[in-house]
Amino acid sequence: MENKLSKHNIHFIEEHCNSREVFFNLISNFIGDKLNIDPKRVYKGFELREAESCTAIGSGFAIPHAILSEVSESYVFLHIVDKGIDYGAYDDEPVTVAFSLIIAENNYNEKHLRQISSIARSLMNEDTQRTLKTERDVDKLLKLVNEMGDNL
Amino acid sequence: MKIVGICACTSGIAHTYISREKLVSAGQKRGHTISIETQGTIGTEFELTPTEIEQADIVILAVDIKVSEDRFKGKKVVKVPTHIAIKAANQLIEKLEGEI
Repeated sequence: MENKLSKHNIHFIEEHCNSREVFFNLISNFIGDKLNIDPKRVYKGFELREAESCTAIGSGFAIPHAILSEVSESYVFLHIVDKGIDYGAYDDEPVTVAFSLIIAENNYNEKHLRQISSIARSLMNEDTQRTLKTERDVDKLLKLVNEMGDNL
Repeated sequence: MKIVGICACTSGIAHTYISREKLVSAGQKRGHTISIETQGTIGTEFELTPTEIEQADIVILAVDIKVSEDRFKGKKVVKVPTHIAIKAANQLIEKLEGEI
């Protein structure tokens, strides 16, 4: 199904991100490239949401999201960084795994939003957290994330 | 103790559900019966039943937006932003224990 995460949506980051802004820049470029949209808009969308409250959820995970009018579907990306990012998380834990969400402003696809909320819920599972932090095989990550999205 | 509550964040996509998971797990860990409804973009899930509300000792609202509190008339209601529930679910549950 097209809504599911594909290999192209998994992003390994080797560069050291010494701030959340640097990280947002990198992932905005990655996403802009994949979705053929202006990375600046993606970046701004992330920052807007972050200004409301930090999207880090503790234990080294974050779920940044941007609501954009230029996409007609919603998308999930998985970003894994080698060196943890000082993200401003409440537990001060550097973020190493982020699910970024690009949400279509004008087209709330209910099924897809359910998958996203399911991914968010599954992210609280400690086994899932451990696997996301250690697994580097793209196929296995893909399988895990798609299972997370099916936990409805 | 019996706890009911609602989680609802601004975009209603992710943190609504994260805060619910944190509250439910923190509540159960301390031996409470806890039911938390989510009000997200996809609508209401885990909807509280009138019986659950009736029997509840306390109501926790982890919300960044305005939600209707009509169902909780006469109940002790504690309201916090979702990031507090995510950040400090255990302490929040302990605080609820002190409120009743």
